[in-house]
Amino acid sequence: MDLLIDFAISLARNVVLGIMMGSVYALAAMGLALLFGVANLINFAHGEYVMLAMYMAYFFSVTLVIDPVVSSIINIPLFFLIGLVTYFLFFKRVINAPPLSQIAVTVGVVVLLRNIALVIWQAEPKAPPFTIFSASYEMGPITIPLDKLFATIISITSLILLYLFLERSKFGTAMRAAADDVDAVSMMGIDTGRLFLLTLGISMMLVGLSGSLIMMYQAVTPTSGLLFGLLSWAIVALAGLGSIRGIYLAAVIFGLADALASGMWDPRGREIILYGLFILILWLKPRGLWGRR
Amino acid sequence: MKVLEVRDITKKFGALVALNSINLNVDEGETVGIIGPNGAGKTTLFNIITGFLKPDKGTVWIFGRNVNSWRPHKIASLGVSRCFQIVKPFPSLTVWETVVVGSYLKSRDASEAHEAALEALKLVGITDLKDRLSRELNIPQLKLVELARSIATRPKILLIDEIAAGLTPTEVDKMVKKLKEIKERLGLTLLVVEHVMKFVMGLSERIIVLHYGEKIAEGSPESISKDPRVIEAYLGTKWAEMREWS
Amino acid sequence: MRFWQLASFGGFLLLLPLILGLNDYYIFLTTLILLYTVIVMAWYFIGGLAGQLDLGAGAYHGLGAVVTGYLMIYYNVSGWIGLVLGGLAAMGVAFIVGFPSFRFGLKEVWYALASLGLVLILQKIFLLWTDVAGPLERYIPFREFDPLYMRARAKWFYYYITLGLLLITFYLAHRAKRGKLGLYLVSIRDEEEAAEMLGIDTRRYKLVALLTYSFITAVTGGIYASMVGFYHPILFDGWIGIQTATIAIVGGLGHFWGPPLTSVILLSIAEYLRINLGGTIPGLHQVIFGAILITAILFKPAGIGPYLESLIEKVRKR
Repeated sequence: MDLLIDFAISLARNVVLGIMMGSVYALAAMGLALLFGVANLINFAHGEYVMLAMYMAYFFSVTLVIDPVVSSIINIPLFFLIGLVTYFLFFKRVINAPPLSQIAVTVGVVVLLRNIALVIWQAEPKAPPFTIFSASYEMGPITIPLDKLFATIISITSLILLYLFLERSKFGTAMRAAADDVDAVSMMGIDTGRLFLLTLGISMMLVGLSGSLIMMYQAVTPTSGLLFGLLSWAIVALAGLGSIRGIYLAAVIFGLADALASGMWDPRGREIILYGLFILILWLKPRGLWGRR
Repeated sequence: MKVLEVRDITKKFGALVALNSINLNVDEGETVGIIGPNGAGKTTLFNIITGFLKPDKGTVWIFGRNVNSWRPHKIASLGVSRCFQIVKPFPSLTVWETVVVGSYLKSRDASEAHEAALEALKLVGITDLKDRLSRELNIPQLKLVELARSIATRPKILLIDEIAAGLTPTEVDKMVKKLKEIKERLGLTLLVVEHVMKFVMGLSERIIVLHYGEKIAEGSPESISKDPRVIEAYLGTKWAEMREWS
Repeated sequence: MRFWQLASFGGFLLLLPLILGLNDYYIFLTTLILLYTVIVMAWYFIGGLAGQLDLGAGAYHGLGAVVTGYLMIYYNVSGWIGLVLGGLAAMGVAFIVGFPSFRFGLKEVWYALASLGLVLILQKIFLLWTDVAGPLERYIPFREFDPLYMRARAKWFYYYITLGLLLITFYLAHRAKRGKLGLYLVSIRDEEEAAEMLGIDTRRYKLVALLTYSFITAVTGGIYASMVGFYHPILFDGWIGIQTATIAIVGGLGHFWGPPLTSVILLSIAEYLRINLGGTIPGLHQVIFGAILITAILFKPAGIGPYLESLIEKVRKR
């Protein structure tokens, strides 16, 4: 009987943790989905940008003695800029190229970013030394760390803001239209080059924010990019392109899978579950659950 | 002898009924034309016969065998080949290699395949294009390459989808002559989808008219061109062209 | 003329260990470069001919290493048999993953990601499967020189095994390129529906390409394990597949000799950089390597092989 109660408590804890983790993953995945859906750009290096954002969060929290969550205030505009620089360095030449060229160039970016991280921060995992939200909130037997709760709230708020931007603003409408038919958008007299640039910028801002928030959960190494890249693609595959709500739900599903696998089985086995799930989705639901295309 | 039978085929795409219980029988050696305005379901019918699409209802019989669950390559080895409406060339292969890909289907070794390929090139009359890369060719040339590679599989039934589009009237005449010759030589059964009336009327022995997924008429070219339902279906779209050419 | 060219090139490869002064370290590095070049050449089947952007080389490489090493350590089975069994095991896994992938029409980025996922799944499975691998290295018994067991202290032994494998792979790839298999695979890569309509069982032929590639890649893993004397789940390395695909793209996708040539050149540069920079600033050599890769892809998108071919053409016409 006690065993059953222990199990139930552990399950409940991990479910809560999974939902919170998923909320943060949703930001990274949303950045990928925007770029892939609107600009039709396959960014294989997406995870490496997330990794870089995690390192920047670590860097700011150490040098400026601020909380990693607060570091997002710097990370968001910084990654907007990094997005612009990257665009002119690498992406501009392949924006209308066949998928293979895009994959090739962005795989090159993977090599570059991963090893720049290795040069600067070495291979040992880095984690921020402290957080100002060290307290936690007790809900019966379940403890909710405040820093993670706070990350979840920021994440959901940002997604709502993004939703409002896409629904209400002129550029947002154009972005949604471009996701359906780029030619129609350029016929409407909208500069698609600028539109893609803005999309990349927003995608990178989401990356910058998600990097800061993921630091609430785990340390970063130069190979973290692989995990968050694959995870983002997996979430996009499950959701399908087309809706923020779909991405959020898919991210929560993966967050739950992650938390349950790590917490109730073996932390080293989480990738078996996550990537196994990913491959199964690709086989069985190639358009995702809520995808329009 | 009946070589192809389409029995009560229905295909829907969402709410759109692309084909509505279509029946069609084709005898050995026949040339059957399928006409109808855009969106009538002609290409969908071809996709179902060749196994690229599965019908919602009904069955396709080829040489007395139910091929509903068969994949295209198996239907092809049964002796069905097809030229696509929108050409599907192999850009990195030469014309010669493209045709050899087809001729391997019924050949035991490379030399036999090469012989068959050469023969197919001669029949279609594009031996001079042999060493050109497919990506260097224009659309009418690519259509001929498709014809050659289809013939190279030594089919018994050949489905041709809009091969005459974009040709001048004299070229259409030549194409009709060429196809008749090929058909004669190989003993083919032909199924032809075409917009160019002059082409279908000149080639077909029997014509089926599709209109929004329904078969609205069937008969000889002469009777079809006088059928009031056909004229009505085509009014405003193809009527003028038909008057001009028939 | 052509005979003498080939003969002198072959002689050079045969005598290379002597040229390197029988220096074990240099022979080891050369063997590594050849080993990865074998993978690039094997990738020609699945990537170059069949056009599937497979990033799963690490999965098959790792399987070959684990199977060969495990059999050598615990059953005293000769490495030669281990290579074959490892290859068969890799083919088995490739089939289990490849069949549904082709059945459900996985393409482009999704195929690439699925194959990369496979590497990491296997890595973690073997990390948790402590009966076979686990977090510690498993050492293969030392033998001074035992060709039957496929284990030797001197690295030239592995050099010749790798050279043999490279030649076999070259031969197989060349035969495929010239014959029906290559023609079928290219037609599938170029236009799958048209290939199907010409009677080609596209799923079957893609599987043939995948299985060939997985077998050869697994053999490289077995050789690697025996050469370094241990195996570990880290050999299921996603990086190998990424490196292979990038080199093949830089060399010219679908080109026959461009990718292996590029592989030898780029990997030599990488090793040179690693030896000279790796000690001072770890990772810096890889940054330079990455920069070279990106520059090559951005400025010669068709690849080095086709570019050299057009250069040779120009020189000949003069």
